[in-house]
Amino acid sequence: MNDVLKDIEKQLDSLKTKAVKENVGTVTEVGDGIARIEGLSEVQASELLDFGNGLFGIALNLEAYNIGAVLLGDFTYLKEGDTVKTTGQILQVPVGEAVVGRVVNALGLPIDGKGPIKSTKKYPVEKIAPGVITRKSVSVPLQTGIKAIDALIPIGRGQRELIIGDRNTGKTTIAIDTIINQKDVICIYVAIGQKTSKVAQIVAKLEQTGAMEHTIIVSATASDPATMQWLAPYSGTTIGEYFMDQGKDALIIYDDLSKHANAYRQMSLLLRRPSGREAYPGDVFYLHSRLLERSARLNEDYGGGSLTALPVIETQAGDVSAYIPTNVISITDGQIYLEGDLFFAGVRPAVNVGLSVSRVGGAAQTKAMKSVAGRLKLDLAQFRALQAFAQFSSDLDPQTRSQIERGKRITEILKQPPFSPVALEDQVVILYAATNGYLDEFPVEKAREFEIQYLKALSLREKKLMAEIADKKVLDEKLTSQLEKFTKEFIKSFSKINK
Amino acid sequence: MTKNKRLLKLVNLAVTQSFEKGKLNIKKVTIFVTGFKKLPSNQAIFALSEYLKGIKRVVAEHTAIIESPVKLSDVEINKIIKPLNSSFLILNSEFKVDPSLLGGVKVKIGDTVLDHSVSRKIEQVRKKITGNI
Repeated sequence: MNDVLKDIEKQLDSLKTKAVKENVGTVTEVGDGIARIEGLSEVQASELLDFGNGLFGIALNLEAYNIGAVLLGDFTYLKEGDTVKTTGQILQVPVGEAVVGRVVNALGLPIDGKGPIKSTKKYPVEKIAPGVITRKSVSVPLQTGIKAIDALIPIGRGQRELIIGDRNTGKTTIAIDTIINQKDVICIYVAIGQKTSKVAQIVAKLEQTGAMEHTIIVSATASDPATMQWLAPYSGTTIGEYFMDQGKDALIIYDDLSKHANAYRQMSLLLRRPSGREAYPGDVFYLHSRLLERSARLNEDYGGGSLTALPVIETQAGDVSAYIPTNVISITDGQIYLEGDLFFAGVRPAVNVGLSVSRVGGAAQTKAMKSVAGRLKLDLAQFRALQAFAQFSSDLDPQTRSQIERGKRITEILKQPPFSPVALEDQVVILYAATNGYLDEFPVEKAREFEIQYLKALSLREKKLMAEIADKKVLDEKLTSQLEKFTKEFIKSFSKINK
Repeated sequence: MTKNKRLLKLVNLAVTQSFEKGKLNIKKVTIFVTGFKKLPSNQAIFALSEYLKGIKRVVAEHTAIIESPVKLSDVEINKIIKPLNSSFLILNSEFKVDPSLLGGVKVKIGDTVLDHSVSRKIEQVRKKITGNI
C-alpha cells in the first residue's frame, strides 16, 4: 500500500498543472457512426477528436465552417450541441511484445478478457510506407506449409500475395495454415466484417495448435461499426510495423479487404463524398494501396525486418474483373486463385495453379524446392493442356497417356488436408518422387497413401538425409542419389503390398 | 431548402461585408436581408439561415464568454479580458456562473477555450495518476 502511495506521490511531484488552450466545436448532426461538427477551426486532417466520456473520433471531411468525423465507439448518447475538442494527435495503438498472443479490437484494446495490455509503446495507425532507400528485394522464403503454394506460387518475406476466390473455397484456411506453419515469424490476423463465431473458431484453432503464442488477432467483426472495420487493417499493420522496425519478420493477413472496401464505402456515402464505380468513393484504390505499401522488406541498415501481407478478397461468382478485386490484384505481387469447381471436385486447397502467380517469390524459393518445382510446373502445364484435349479422343498415344497419368498423380500429391502444414524437407522429397515418376506405377487412389508411407519411412530410416535437406535447403547430387536409392527400395516394398 | 454553392459563396461574402473592424453594421445587414428576401422562397430560406449562422459565427469570434464559480465584478472581468486583446479582437463579453468549475476561470472566444479552472486541474491530476492520456 505504502509503495502505491509513494508511487503516486512521486508522479504528482513532477506534475505541474497549467491553464489549457483548446480548440472546440459543437456537434450539429449525429448518425450511423458519423458526426458533423461546427467550429474546430484549427483541426487537421485525420486528427483524433475527443467527444468526452471516452468517445473519440477521426476528422475526415474538412469544410469551410464544419467538419465530418467518424466516431470510434458507442455514440448512442452523443447528441446535438455536445462539445468536441481537438487533441493534436492522430490515433495510436499499443504495440510491442505485450500484444503478442492477444485478441484486440481496432483501437488496440484487448477483447479476450485476459486483462489490460502492459505496453509502453504506441505507434500511429497511419504511417507513410518505407521509402526506396530503406527497402531490399525479397530473398527469404516464407514457408506456408502448403505444397501447392510453396512449390508453385512461392511467397517471400516482405511480399504481398493476394488470396482470392469465391465464398467457401478455403481462403481463410490457407491463411490459418500459414500462421500455424510459422515458428520465428510474428503473425497478425485481421478479421474485418466477419462473423464473431468464425473469429472465435479461429482463435480456438490457433490456441489448440499452439500458434496463438506468436499470433495477434485484430478483430472488427460484422457487429462492430463500419468505422472500426475500416480502421482494423491499419491498426494491424501498425502492430506489424513495430516488429519490422525491430528487425523481426512479421506476417499480416487481412481477412478480407472486400468487406473493408464495403465499410469504407458506407462511411464515405454517409459523409456525402461523391461516389464512383459500384458506389465506391474515388479514393478506394488509395485506401488499399497505402495499406499494402506498408508491407516491405527492410535492408540491413534499417534492421533487416520484414512485413509480409496476405490480403484476402472474396469474389462474387468467380468475377475477378470487379472493381475491388482488380484494384487489389494490381497492387499485390501476385495472387493465389482459389476455385469453387476445384474445391468441390475434391482438390483441396483449391488452388488454380494456372491462374495463380507469384511475381517476386521465385527469387526467395529455396534451391531444394526450385530443383523439384521447375519440373513440377512443366508437368502440370502439359497435363492441363493434354487433359482438355484428351476429353475429345479415346485413343491416346502412350506418351500422352503417361503425361496425363503423371499429372493426375501430381495433382493428387498437391492435395492436403486443412491445418496440417508440411515441412519443407517433406515437401521436397514427395515432390521429387512425384515428378520423377516413382508414383506412376501405382493407381491414383494410392498416391495419398504412398505419400504418408514414404514420409514415414524417410523419417524413420533416413533421419540424417532429411535433416541435411532441412538444414542445407539444397538437393545436391549426393543427396539426390541417396534419395533415389532410398525411393527405389521403398517402391519395392510398397508395391508388394499395394499392387 | 436546396444547397446552392454559388448562393452560399454570396452569403459568405455578405457575412464578411456586414462587419467593419469586427462590429456589425446594421445598415448593411438590413440591405442584405431585404436582398435575400427577394429571392425565390426556397433559396431565400437557405440564404437567410446561412447568413444568420455566419453572423452568429463572426459575433462569437469577438465575444468572450467568461465562466467562473462565483460572480465577478466588471473590474475583474476587464482585468481578464485586457491581456487577451493582444491575440483576440474582443468587442463584447458575457459572464456565466458555473459552480462545477470549483475555482478559477474559463474563457471561450469563438472556438478557442482557455481553461484555467480548478476542475480542469483536478482532471490533469487524475490523468497523471491513472496514466490515462
